[in-house]
Formats: sequence, structure tokens, C-alpha cells
Amino acid sequence: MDESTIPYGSIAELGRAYRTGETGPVAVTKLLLERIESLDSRLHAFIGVTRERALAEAETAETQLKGGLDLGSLHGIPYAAKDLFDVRDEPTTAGTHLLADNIASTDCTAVTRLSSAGMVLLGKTHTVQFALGIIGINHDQGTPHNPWHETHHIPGGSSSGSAVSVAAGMVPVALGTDTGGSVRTPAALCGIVGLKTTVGRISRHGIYPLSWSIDSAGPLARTVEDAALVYQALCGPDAGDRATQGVAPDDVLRGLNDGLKGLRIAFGGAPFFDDLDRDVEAAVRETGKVFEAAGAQVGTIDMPEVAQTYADLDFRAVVLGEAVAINGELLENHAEELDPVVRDLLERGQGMSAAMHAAGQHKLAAVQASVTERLRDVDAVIVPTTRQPARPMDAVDASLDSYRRFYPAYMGNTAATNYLDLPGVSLPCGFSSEGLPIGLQILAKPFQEQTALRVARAYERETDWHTRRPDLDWAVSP
Amino acid sequence: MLEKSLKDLAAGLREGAFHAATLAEEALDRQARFADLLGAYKAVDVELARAQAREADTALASGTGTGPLTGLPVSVKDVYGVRGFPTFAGTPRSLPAAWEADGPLVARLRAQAAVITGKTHTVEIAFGGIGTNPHWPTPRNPWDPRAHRVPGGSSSGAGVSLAEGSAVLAMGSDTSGSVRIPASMTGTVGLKTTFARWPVDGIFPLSPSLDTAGILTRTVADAIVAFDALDGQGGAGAAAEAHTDTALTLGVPKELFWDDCMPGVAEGVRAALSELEAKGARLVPFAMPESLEAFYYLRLGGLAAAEAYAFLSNDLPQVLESLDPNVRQRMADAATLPAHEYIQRKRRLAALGGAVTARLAEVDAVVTPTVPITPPTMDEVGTLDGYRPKNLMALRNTCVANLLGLSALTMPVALDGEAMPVGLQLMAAGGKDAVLLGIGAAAEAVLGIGRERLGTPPLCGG
Repeated sequence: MDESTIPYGSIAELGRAYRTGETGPVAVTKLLLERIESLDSRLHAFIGVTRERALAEAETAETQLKGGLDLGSLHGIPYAAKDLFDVRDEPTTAGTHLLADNIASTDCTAVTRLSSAGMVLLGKTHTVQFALGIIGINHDQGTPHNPWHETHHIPGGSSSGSAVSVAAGMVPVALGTDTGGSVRTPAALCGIVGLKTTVGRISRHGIYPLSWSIDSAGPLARTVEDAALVYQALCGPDAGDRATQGVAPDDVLRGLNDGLKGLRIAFGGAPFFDDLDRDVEAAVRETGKVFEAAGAQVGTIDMPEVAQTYADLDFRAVVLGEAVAINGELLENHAEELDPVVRDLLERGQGMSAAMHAAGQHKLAAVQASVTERLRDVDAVIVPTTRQPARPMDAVDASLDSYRRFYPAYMGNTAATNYLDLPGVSLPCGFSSEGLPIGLQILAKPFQEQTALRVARAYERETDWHTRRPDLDWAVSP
Repeated sequence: MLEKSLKDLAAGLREGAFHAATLAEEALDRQARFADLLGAYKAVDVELARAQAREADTALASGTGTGPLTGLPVSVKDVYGVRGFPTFAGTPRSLPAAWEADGPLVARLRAQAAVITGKTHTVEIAFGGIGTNPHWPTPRNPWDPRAHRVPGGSSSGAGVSLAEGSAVLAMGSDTSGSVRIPASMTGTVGLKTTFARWPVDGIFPLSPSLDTAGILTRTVADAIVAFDALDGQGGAGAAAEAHTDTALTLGVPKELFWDDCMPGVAEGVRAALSELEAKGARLVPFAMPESLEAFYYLRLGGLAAAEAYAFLSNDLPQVLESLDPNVRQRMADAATLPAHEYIQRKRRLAALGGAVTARLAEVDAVVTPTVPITPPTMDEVGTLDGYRPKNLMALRNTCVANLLGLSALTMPVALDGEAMPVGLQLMAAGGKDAVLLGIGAAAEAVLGIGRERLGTPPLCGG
């Protein structure tokens, strides 16, 4: 591997190169740190680069590998974490300058696990304030720039910086969180892979919360295998997150390459295919042929639970009520300093009642049970991740009203599945006529991350969308 | 015959000394005899009870499908679905048929061929600690021969069914004290199980985040038998054997629980504690400031009421419409509490519960009076202004265990200044239900069972 291939190297490729001595964690880390320095003044993916820590972790990994201590596939692999994840001695700002002094005393569980696996943390990535927004815009700390277009297009959010950093070859993998689509939507808009996990799979201990009830953490990566490798290291029980306790262990690597034989895949019905961009519709419909050719049965399935979660405000009272419970103090005392698009949502949350929240909790359990039963004879549901590709910042951010008008396009196909607690993968399945990525979302039954990843991996093997790279010449600093 | 302990009744049935049919007739006789005077039951089905008793006798004869509760008369609070009975949950009209199906706990009773005598009265949707109901008669507390005093609620008929001898086990439910308050007020034993330990499916919900199922019995020894028969893990019998010595460390909180007790209540509990101390128990001060905050949140009133409103407005709006207007208003008020405040209170309570639970490791149990007040007369609670303060005081000492996630037991230890029963409440960490029963058994060995210590309720004599 060399300077041109390392930035887009997969975990397996880097790992092989480490073990043949072709390159090492220190060289790769230095190269990627330089790349971040060169690109990030335009791309704005990172809020903080943890240079010293990165070099120290890379040195350690390199010494260990040379000394014959091999911690496995993630050893020496660089990554980044969304600025909701606590990293020791670094601020967790959750997207607001108001939390600039919120220095974490310890690593969160997710970062601890990746460190234990020998990974190298390069820095923390931008997020929508409090992770409360799907577009990716942050009026306080700046909005990451979608790598696929020189004109500032939205990156998708809330894990905006994580998606941009991976898509731009700054890191092979980054951590995000997903409460309404915040891993999958930026992954789709930036042309990479994003895995939304079932609540209870990955500990949220030490991650700045948005909604305790339905927050999930997950990896963003350039290949399904890379996402699976990091997911595998992240999942498991943790005393700090009760939802993880009593969950049976998972092994998504086993069977990842088993293909589609015998799997039943179904296109989701309305509202997933409502108001679609033409290019999105064509690209996603085309995937059905790929799946059929690869040996899957492809049908359709209606999930009325999806519309139900949107029609009933009680569901929103769960998330927004919890968001206000968490951020209420900042809202009370610093409303003027909050990002107006985020404040708008929090203020809606202030109007939600205890009864709505309690009903919402009850209904969550009911729709989750109902959809699990409905999916009994289906292994995976395929739908577009977003209804439109990324749009220019100017168009989306013209006013609060225009910003709001884009919610359905970017959240309409993801948020319901957080209420339904389905795991899902977004991966690239085409490009729009403007050259912007289109995401295919593969949903599975609760705790069936293995199935979602296996189906995604099978699709990836049949297509080459994931090998496309954005031309970033315009982003390079002199 | 029904005066015997559960253990002796089960042994007698097994040995053929008497039959389930005999016990059922005796229970039905007692029920009929006290129906007008005490009125514990909302519904009794004599033929159904007899049929169950026949099944129990068949099971006993064949030796299959039996358990510790086979052939024993059990009353069930009318919030549980019980096949063959309508469910009213204290509301004016019977609920949709879905609420009549057996839930898992009733199924556990049936699996060992217990004999369900009938369904006992409850406060409307179990919302209230006094025991009164605007639509249906309020069971009479059998301890006052002069005035109609309340039986405690919301499991208002449960304790009375035990006192009158129409059941030897009463199934109740406890969201803020609804098992322990009627147990304390009727001189019986009541166990509130740890939240989520026993399934509440098939039980009409009040507050899904606080509702627990529980049992009332005449003695702690009986509660142990019933607990082990109904619990997946059991272990109360073993815990009782482990606690035969009385070298218990009992924590006595100085906050809240002892304040403003009516004459004879605190005195009665303290006297019982002194007797335990004389037999080797160690009484130690136990700081429990969390109890003050828990009661504060009960007074604010936004938790159970908001959850009940959420459920009823979505699933059974017709029930919401028929509620006592004062209750409906309280629910509507609570329902407008902002979601974030409700969430913050729940989180705060969870944190307080965690803090108390950590300190509970220092003691075997925390001991307090179960209910600080004498059961009021119906006249005293006839108006809203009379009812409200009494209801709040009735719930004060018991709600703490629900809101902080503890297990709790009450056992009768004294008569108060009005010669009404006084309960000793024992609380332990969540999940310690079996251990708590073992500790209760050790205390019962010193103090004697309710009938020995308090005598017979005047209205149930002879």
C-alpha cells in the first residue's frame, strides 16, 4: 500500500499490510492526520483531532504487532468518534459551544472497547447540536461539507462529521449514533455504509444522550465487512447500560459471506416510496434485480406500523420529551445561544405532556411486537434510506421553514424504524444525475444485525458502488 | 378447618384428612354469612368454586396437577382477569372481554388447582389507598363493631376476605401501597413483590411503571408458602429456615415514617420492635432522606395518574368518562404535566432508589409503621376534603417502596388507640422478596401471628 491507496484502504487491507511490514500503524496514522489537515478546512468533519493520543496508540499498536502481540483485525486501525462519545480529557460538546468545558474524565464504553481492540483514535467529529437533526446542519460549530460536491451540499446528520471523515478517506471507520436515522442518513448522503443497531446491542454508557429510550450507537464505514468488524468489537453487555444486559451475544462475522440463498427480501410499501426523487426510485428498484439474480426471493411487504408511528404524536413525545429532560437547563437559560433549528424541536418537546410520553412508551412496545410478528416470513426489508440525495446548503438552509420541509425527505424512511427498533444497514446503490450518492436501506428484525449485514454484504459483492471515490481536488488546502 | 395454616391445610388434603370440597363449602359459608355485614366480594360463583374444588379433589386423588395451593380457597382482587367472571376493576360497567382472560398469575393458581372463591372489591381502577368506591359498596373493616371503618385499599376486599375466613390467600395488586394498606388495616400480612418480579399481564393497569402483583395472607408463614407456590424462583421457605435466629439488624429511619402517626400506631410498632430487640435483634438508625423526596413526588401526583390517563384515553376512553369526576380531574391534571418533568422525576426516583439500595446492604430490613393513621370511618372520608388528607396519609409510608424500587412486607403487630390493627412494615432491596419473608418469619416467631397478638376481629367472632 502507498500514499494513494492507504486513505481508502479497508481494515483487512491495512491489517494485511501491517502484518507483512509493508506499512505500519504509525505511518498510516501520520498519513491520515496529514490528510485531515489538508482536507478539513474545507470539509469541516473534525471538531478536534486527538493527535497525541493517536500517535501514542499507533506506537503502542506498532510495537505490539512487531513484538508478536496481535490483538486481531482492528489492531492499529484508525477511527474517529462523533462528538457525543466521551473521550478522556477531551470536551464532549454535543454540537454546542455551551458545552466547551464539558471535559470527559474517562472514555465511554464504546471507545474503551475499540481501544482494547488496539484501535487508534484520530479525533472527534462534528454533530448536529444534541444529535437533534437529520439534515446535518450546525449553525453553531459549522456544517461538514459533503465530499461529493464542490458546492456545499448537506452531509446528512446528525453523525455528519463521521460520515464525511469516512467518505473522504480520513479514517476507515467512525462512530455515530442513530435515534431517527443519524447513522444511516449521513451514510447514504455521503455514499458509505452505516449500521443502525438494535437498542441493547452496543452500550451507550458515556455517550451524550438524545433519547434514552431509543438511542443506538453504530459504525460508519466504507465496506460492510469493516462495519461488521467494528460492530462485533462494540457489542456486548455493559454495566453502564442496562439495555445491554441479558442480550444474547452476536457473531455477525460468521455467515457474513453466506450470500442470499434462501433469504426472503421484500420491498417496503408506503410511505417508504412516497415522494421519491426519480434517480433514487430507479436506483433502489434496480436493487431488486440484483437480489433476485443473487438467489433471494424478492417480494413486497406493507408495514402499517410505520405510518402509525408518524401519525401519532405520542411517539415523538418519547424522543422530544427525553431530549428536553436532558437539555432543558440549556434551553431555559441559553435559548438564544442554541442553534435555532434545534431549539425549534426542543420547544416542540416542551409542549409534549407526561400522558403523551407514557402513552408513547406503551405504544412503542406495542408496535415493536406487532412489526416483529408482521416480519415473521421476511428476512430483510429494502427501502431507500433517504427520499432525495443531498441537496445544496443554500436550498435547505434558506429559512427555518425550508429546513423543516426537508425532514420527510431525509428522516421519513429511517425514524420509524427507530421506534420499531429494527436494525438496518445503509449502503450505496447508485448516484444521482448530479453525481450524488443514493443509499439503499436494508432492515431486519430486532437483533438480526447479522441478517442485515449479510444481505448488505451480498449486494456489495454484486455491485461496485462502494468502490467509487469522490474527487477531492477542490478541497485540498495549498 | 380453615383456621389451619396453609401448610397444615395442604398436608390434611394430601393425607385425605379432609377434602377440597369441604374447605370450599366452609369458605362459601363464611362468605355468605358475612356478605351483608362486611361485603368483601364484588362477585362470587358458588358453582364455579364447587367445580374447582372437585377438580382439586380429583387432582389430589390422582396425585397429578397438584401443588402447595391445591384445594385452598383463594380470593382474587377484581382487577385480575379470571375466566368465568366479569372484570369491573371498580368501574361502573364491566370491562371488555379481553380483561376477563386469566393472566399468568391466575394461570399459576389454576395449574395447581387452587379454588377461586370469587373476586374481591377494589377501589375504582385501583387508584386510592383508603378503600372507598363511588360506584360499589365499600367493604367494612371487621375490627370496629360500632362504625363502618374503611378496610384500606385499593385491594379493599382482600384483607376482609381473609379476616372473615372465606379465603386463606388473597391476590392483590400494589402500585403505591394497595396490598400493604388493606393488610395493615385488617390485621393481615401483605407482600408487595419487587417491580417486574411477577407478571402483571391480565391485571388491569394503573401505572405500568409501578404496578406490582402481591399477596395477602393471615400469617407470614402462610405468605411464605404462597410466595414459593407462585414465584418462579421461590426460596422464601429456605430463607425462613436461614433466619430462625433473631439476630437481625433492623434499620429504623428517622425521617417521615414516624411523623404524625395517630395514637397507638408508632407506640404499637415500637413496642413490637422492643420485643424483637429483647430477643437479639439490633435496631440501628437508618438514614433514608430519599423517602422524603419519594413522598414529595407522590404528593405532586404526576406519575401513576399520568400513566393511567395515557392508557385509558387511548385504550378505554369510555372508562375514563365513567370515572369518579374527582379522580378523572386529577388524572387530567397529571396528564398535562410536561413530558420532560415526568421523565426527570422518573430518572430522579431511579437514582434515589439506587442510592437507598446500596445502603440497604448494611441492614437486614428497614422497619416502619405500615400506615400512620387509624382506618377512618366512612363519615370521615365522605367528603373530598375529608378523603384527600386521609388518602395521602394512608399512602405515605407505603409509596416509598414502590417509588424507590424496593420489596416490602407488612405484618400485624398491635392495635391502635381505636383498637384498630397496626402493621409493621419491613422493606428490603428490590429482588430480596424471599429474604424479606424469611426475616418476617423470624419476627413472627417472636411476636406471634396476628390472631394470637391482636385477637379476633370483633365482627368475625364466633
